[in-house]
Amino acid sequence: MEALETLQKCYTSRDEWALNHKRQGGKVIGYTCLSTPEELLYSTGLVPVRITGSPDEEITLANSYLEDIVSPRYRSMLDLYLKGKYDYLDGWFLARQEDAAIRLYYTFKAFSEIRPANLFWLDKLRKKSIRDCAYMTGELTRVRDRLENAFFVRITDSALAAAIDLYNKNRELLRKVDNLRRQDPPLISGKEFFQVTNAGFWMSKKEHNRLMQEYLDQSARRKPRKPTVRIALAGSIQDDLSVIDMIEEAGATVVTDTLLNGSAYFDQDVVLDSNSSPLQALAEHLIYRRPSPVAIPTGDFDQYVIEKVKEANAAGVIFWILRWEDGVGWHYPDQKVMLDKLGIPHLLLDMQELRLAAPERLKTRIETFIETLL
Amino acid sequence: MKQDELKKAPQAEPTEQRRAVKILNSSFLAQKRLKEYILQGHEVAKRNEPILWAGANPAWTELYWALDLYIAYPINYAALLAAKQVMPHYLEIAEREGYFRDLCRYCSKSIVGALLAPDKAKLPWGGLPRPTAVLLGCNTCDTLAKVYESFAKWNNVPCFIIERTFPSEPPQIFPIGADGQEVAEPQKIDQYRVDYYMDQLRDMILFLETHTGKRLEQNKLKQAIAYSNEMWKYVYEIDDLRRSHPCPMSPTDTFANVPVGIMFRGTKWAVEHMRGLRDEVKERVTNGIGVVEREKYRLLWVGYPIWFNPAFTSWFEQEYNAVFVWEMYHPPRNWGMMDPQNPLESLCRMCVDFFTDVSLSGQSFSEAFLPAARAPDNADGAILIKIESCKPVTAALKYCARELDRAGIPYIEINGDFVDPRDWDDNRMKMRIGEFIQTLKPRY
Repeated sequence: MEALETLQKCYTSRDEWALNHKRQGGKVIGYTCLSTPEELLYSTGLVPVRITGSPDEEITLANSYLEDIVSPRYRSMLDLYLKGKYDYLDGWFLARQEDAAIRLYYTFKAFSEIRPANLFWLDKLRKKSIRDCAYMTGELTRVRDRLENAFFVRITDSALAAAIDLYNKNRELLRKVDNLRRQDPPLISGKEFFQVTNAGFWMSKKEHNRLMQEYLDQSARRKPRKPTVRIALAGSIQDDLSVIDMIEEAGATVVTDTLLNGSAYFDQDVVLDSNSSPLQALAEHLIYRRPSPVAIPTGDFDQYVIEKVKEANAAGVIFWILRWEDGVGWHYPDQKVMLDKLGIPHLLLDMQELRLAAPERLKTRIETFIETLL
Repeated sequence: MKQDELKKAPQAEPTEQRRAVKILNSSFLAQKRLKEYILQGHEVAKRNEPILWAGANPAWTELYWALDLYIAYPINYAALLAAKQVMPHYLEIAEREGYFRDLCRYCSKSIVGALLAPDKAKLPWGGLPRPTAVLLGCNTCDTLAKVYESFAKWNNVPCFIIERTFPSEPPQIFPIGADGQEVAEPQKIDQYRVDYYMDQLRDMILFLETHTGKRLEQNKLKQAIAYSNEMWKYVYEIDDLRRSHPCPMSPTDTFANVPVGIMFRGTKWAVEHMRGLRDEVKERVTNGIGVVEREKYRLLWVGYPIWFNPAFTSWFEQEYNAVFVWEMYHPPRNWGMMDPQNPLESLCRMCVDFFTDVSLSGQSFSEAFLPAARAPDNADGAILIKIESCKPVTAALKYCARELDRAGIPYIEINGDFVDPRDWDDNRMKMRIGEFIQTLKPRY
């Protein structure tokens, strides 16, 4: 399983591929939000990589710029940047996904002494209508112009269409990997799923596609795992495997998720047809087809979560919600009611920090919950 | 001043025992009008006339008056729940239903609790009347869309949301001139943003007309805008008078009059009320009457009012002769420049980046108090209150702290909340701020 090892290594050593790419003369742009039109960034000739926080590094420097009621993910991102971890990036791209992204962007604007050299902003709307699509197309056009000016490139429609094709291929392969964990019994663990799929955030999609194809070919020969308690994971983005480890060490498998860095990232392709320009296609994708807890109507996301749980035939749902992440937090009560109606048990782990506080207690709660599902 | 030189702060009385000290007659009139208006909602409901629940940042108030609509403001009612000391009860009801502790509480969780409460009859002033429709006039943060859609769902009525836009260059809501003071220039807003709002506004009017059966009358709208413009002029005058020595008006009086600007602007009553308030404040300035007899300290209150303890700032006036010369809710000088002949676009331009909407960046929040901070001899110190209930406003405090550093004004940051008293230690807060005040240079 050479491909798996490479992907796991990339998942763990997230900067390595990008740093190597830089050494070879390439350029890299970082993005913080999963509502980023990566295809647009890719068509500049730069490789987009995802900026994440880290539970291993205590947040210190960022405290001078962001209040502690801002999502710890974003505070950690800023902290790592201030400590030099992201010095290699040729640009920062932020999009309005959650309030914390707005806070970070405007903090960069207000405090020029910490502002990255090439800073970009996408005003992604949350409503879903033709008007909103039109605004988004205009906004993407403005962003494209800014990218062209900053990096002295011309982003043609054909380059953008090619990037969309590449990313759609990536989504197709991600869905195939998703099927490996969703089948009953699962072929792979939830942990492996996140390692294999999320590794693509920190390398070029071309390379990720190649590795995933190799991985899928090799996986065909694998034996299914033992029958297991099927768990759906919901709530905040998981950039650390600690919680998934706890769930799977307790005898369950995370067979599906509703996370923005999980299924929501690849469930639907960008639809490129002769009726719309590539920018319009991207706008429509961002407005209509990317599930998001802050999208309006908000009930769509609740429905999405319930459908994912049902599709995967999950025996239970674990909500893991980071402190101050109100976007996902406000959905929990409605989703709780919907799950209760379906008779699907759930566990809420709310007010979590990036670095797990009292992990033993958390582990016990997870184990107890899973035991009730056996 | 060294720590050991500090005097021990006077012992504070429990929160519930003290009422806010309002000095001005206009404040009592504003509160009376507010209560009458809220109670009037129940009469409107009995007559089966339409009732709109609306967000307040911004409220498209001029439009509502022109539509002859009764508006209930959940955010305003949340402040009432806090002031009546029943907030914990309703927060706990919401928390039992899964709205966990971390979630914001101001215009959201408390109302959720009130809606879910089995004992609705116990709600202050009879609770909120049932809506005909729900309108969120600005999608300010991660929370409000879900909250307002829930309000609509539970009442089985339609909901409309105006989407917020966040430009790549933060607009300067409070333009500052070379002298560090505000200038009365119109806000510069990208036309594409105005166009997007105009489209939404047209949809919103159609929504309101469809679901309430009311019709927008252009003449009424023009009149409402003219009233609004006139009201703001008095507000600016009051702001200027506020800088007098001694300061003639306290935060408790400002807060009592906040609903006038939010809920009643665009009406003749609001114009007359603000004129009366201006006259009252002016008379005090003419006669040299201040909030306290001898001002020892002049302070800025940077943050929301402590709604569950309206007497909080009054305590420092009484104990330390410390007056607060600025607090939230002051509009920029470019406000109230709407063109009655072009009412819809004027309204849009005002509401695109409304001055009380802190979601934008916090920058407007820090800009807002700069003129008061920079005015010569106006402020000796500032209190920054970090609140969990409203994340956007608290996120702004880093900017505020930087601006205070630049202006050379000492400040203290306190952690607390403004609607949820459960973690609030009144004595401790007063001790901390009291100790801070004593580190400032006294005026006598």
